[in-house]
Amino acid sequence: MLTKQEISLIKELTVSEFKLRYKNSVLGFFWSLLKPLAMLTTLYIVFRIFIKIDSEQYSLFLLLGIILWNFFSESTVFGLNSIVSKSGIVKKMNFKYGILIISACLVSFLSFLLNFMVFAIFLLFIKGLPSLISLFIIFPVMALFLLSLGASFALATFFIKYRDIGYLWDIILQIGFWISPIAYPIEIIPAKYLNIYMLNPLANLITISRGIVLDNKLPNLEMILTSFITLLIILTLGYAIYKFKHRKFIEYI
Amino acid sequence: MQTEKIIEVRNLSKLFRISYEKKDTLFASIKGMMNPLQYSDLWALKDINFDVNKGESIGIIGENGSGKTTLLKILVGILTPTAGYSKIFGKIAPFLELGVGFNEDLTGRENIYLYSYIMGLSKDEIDKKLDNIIKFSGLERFIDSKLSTYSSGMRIRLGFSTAIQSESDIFLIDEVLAVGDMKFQHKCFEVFRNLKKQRKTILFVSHDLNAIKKICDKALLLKEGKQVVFGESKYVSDLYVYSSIIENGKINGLKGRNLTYTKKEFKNMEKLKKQVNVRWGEKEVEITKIKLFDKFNKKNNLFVSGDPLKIRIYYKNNENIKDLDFGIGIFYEDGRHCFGTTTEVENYPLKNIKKEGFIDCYIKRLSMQEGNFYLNVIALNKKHYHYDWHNKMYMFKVIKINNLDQGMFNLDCKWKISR
Repeated sequence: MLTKQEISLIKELTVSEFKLRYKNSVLGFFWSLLKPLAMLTTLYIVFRIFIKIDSEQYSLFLLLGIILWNFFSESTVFGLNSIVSKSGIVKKMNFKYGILIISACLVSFLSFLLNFMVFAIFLLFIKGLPSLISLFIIFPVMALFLLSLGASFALATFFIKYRDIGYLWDIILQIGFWISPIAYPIEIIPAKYLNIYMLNPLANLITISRGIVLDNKLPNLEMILTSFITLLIILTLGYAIYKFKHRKFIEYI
Repeated sequence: MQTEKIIEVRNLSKLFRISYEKKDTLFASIKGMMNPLQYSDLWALKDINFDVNKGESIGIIGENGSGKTTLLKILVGILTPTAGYSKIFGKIAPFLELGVGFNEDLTGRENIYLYSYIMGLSKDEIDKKLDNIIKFSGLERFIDSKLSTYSSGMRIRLGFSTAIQSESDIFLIDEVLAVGDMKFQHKCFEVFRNLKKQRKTILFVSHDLNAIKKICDKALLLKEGKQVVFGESKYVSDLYVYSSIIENGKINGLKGRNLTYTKKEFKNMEKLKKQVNVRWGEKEVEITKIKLFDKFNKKNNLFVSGDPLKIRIYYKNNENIKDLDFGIGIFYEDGRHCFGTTTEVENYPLKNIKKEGFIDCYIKRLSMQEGNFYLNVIALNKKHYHYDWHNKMYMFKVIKINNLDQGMFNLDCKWKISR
């Protein structure tokens, strides 16, 4: 496992990269909000006004979906690049390169927390004080973090050798956005496809999160179990790919 | 001092497989499955064997591409060997060189922390050492500037200063002297001396043979991934100078980094050759060719100051001349006469002159420090009639690697206090 120094390294890497992301522009923090808010506005107009999707508190519903999705897509993209973008040091130093992957996901996690704070303000404004049940949101968020981490382990490892994984992942993310319940509620999926649809771990986690925060409703056991199992599979598989392949691939960097 | 093994390398080999079609995309790999693989094998290292004892410093010498860095990468654990093994009995610093940072936008100070964590130092330890590191690097003024504003020399200084603070038993130093300025180089030597005092092991890669001799007890000479020799550093660096063309571990000739003629020198030589009067005489006795030999008795035209030189003159006595004398003249590049002698001057009786043969001129010690030299070779008679005069037709180069003496000549010199 990780030593004390390695944990310090992760901390230092994460904090310094996070600071850098916001240091270089005066508007730093506000720029980071621009993307989710722009998405929010666009999707709101398209789905609420043009398509007339019928949902209470659609703006909150949409915003939560967007920031969860952005967290996943951002951390996997940074995770994918984490080793290759540091090829200079990877070529010259021997350390646990997985540290770079973990730190990339953590940086995205910190960004997510900022976004989530904005969501919380929206929530207070529109719905008033949430119930204590909302605190359970921490579990699907943790799960989403581990899911991103598992995916990043696999992606970062393959990306060392196969550089077109980057394009491929871009496409998968684009498709993923539309096959996850971000802009629309899960109810519009025909019942016979629902089981297949729910194989997408994002669909599960987003639905659970919305239930907890917006409807004060805890998920049923089936949903918890499916999320847990898919998470476990992806995390183990991702880590195994990293563990057994990355040393070999590093030779190609 | 008892010996205690700290590195053991046995039959270490590393194969790189180079595909002709680059399969660095998934698409190409899938496409590649249909066709038989096309690749060439490159043994970056082949059968390397050596031991290092605690407190010894080892120099690693070889031309570019001879496998020096691959060897260090395997020792440090970045690459895994294809065959054989290397064992480290102690703690090895986990990097080769630190010219690169984690992030160009981070400051020098932040990078020191990141490097140090990788070396396994805790925050408290780094806090304590930080001032020392910054002072040693001489980068006080720049330490809070972004790394992207650093020159390559400054980067290496920062990395080196951090690296030597680690608590490792073995340090890998890859060409750090090449980029530092004089002041920093002196500091480095000081550090190396201190590390040696603490019985730390240094693996030192450099093209600076002087530094290798100064710092290292032993040296490993690599050639195209093969181990030519591992032994006492003075012997090995000598061998390297005299034998940069080494085929299959056998030595036969010369070439090497900074050790061959520059283009300009070569041009000058060619120009000179084209001048008229470079050769005159009626060739009653003809000098057909000459060869220069180094101290290993190999044909060469690069020599180390203080070493011997043998000039072999091939002649043809076309008219069966009895009154014969051979001479040589050595000139500096700028034309200054350096040395000249003949068989007659040296009182060497020329008897038994054959119709065709050669005569050797032994120079016991090349006293010049360094430079390019022209060579005259002359066949003449005792009345100074020139049968065949080769005027500055040959060139050789002298370099100094054993000493820090200054000036034109390398005179034998000893100091002694006599009250």
